[in-house]
Amino acid sequence: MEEIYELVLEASRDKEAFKRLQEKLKNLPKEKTLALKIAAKSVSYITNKAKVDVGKVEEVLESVIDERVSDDFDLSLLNFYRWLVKRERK
Amino acid sequence: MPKVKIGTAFDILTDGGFESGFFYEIYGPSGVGKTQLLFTIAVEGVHQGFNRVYFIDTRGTFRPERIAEIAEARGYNRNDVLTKISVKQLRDLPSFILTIDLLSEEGKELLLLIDTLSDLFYEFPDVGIRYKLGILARNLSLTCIERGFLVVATNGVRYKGNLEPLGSEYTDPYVHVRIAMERDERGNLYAYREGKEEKLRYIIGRGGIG
Repeated sequence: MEEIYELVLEASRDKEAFKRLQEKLKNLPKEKTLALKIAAKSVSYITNKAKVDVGKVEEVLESVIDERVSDDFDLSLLNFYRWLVKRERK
Repeated sequence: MPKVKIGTAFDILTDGGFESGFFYEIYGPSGVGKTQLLFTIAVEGVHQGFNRVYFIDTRGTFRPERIAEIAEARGYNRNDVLTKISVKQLRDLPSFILTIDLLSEEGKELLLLIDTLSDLFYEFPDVGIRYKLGILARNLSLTCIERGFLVVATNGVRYKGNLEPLGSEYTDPYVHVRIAMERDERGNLYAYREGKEEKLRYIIGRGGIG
């Protein structure tokens, strides 16, 4: 999964990478695909902020899951941001 | 899928126009033309292939006469434009959330304009209610990708070291493209895409944003 997450980050900055990501996502379940497409579209300004606060993003995603019957879409998005939080802390 | 070009700096900031499948957030202080931008997108959206345009008005800002003026200034028939725009004036949070949810289930390739995204969530002293803004943004984001909607929502700002969209901590994971609008000390208007440095000038005229 790590390889796909790295591609999500690349896809957030580059349209060609986004096409490559779409190819990679073809074999994944629909919910996971949607979550990673959304991540690729939105993650660029989160990581570009002067003070990166992906931890807050993780908290909000968790709260959204608390409020709903969580499904694979929400969990996939949360897993991506959890990976990103760990990556940022390295 | 339809793309809406409005013939201004915003076409550059959006890589060639506001595109279906994307959730845009337009933020800035009052008086910089956020609502005028929505009117302009509504007019051009009708002209460029959207058969259904919904304008969600949470602040009483919708002005059909202004839309008619923009349409005429751009050489379109005002009635053709106005008959394709549906307005929903929603002043309370439950109606707002319910309406967005219902619209999200309506067909495909719909142009949804929201003025404004976060205001109603900040009328409550209960901070917990703001997490529902995250859920709303989640649903909008998903609808754009799954159903090819084009969603453009305006938002106010607050100061946290620099200007940030109201409620951005809740909408961050879900908004696809953010564009800031601002006025400098000389009164010139500028817009820029968050995450990019280029600032482009725009004006507000008879034909809307130009």
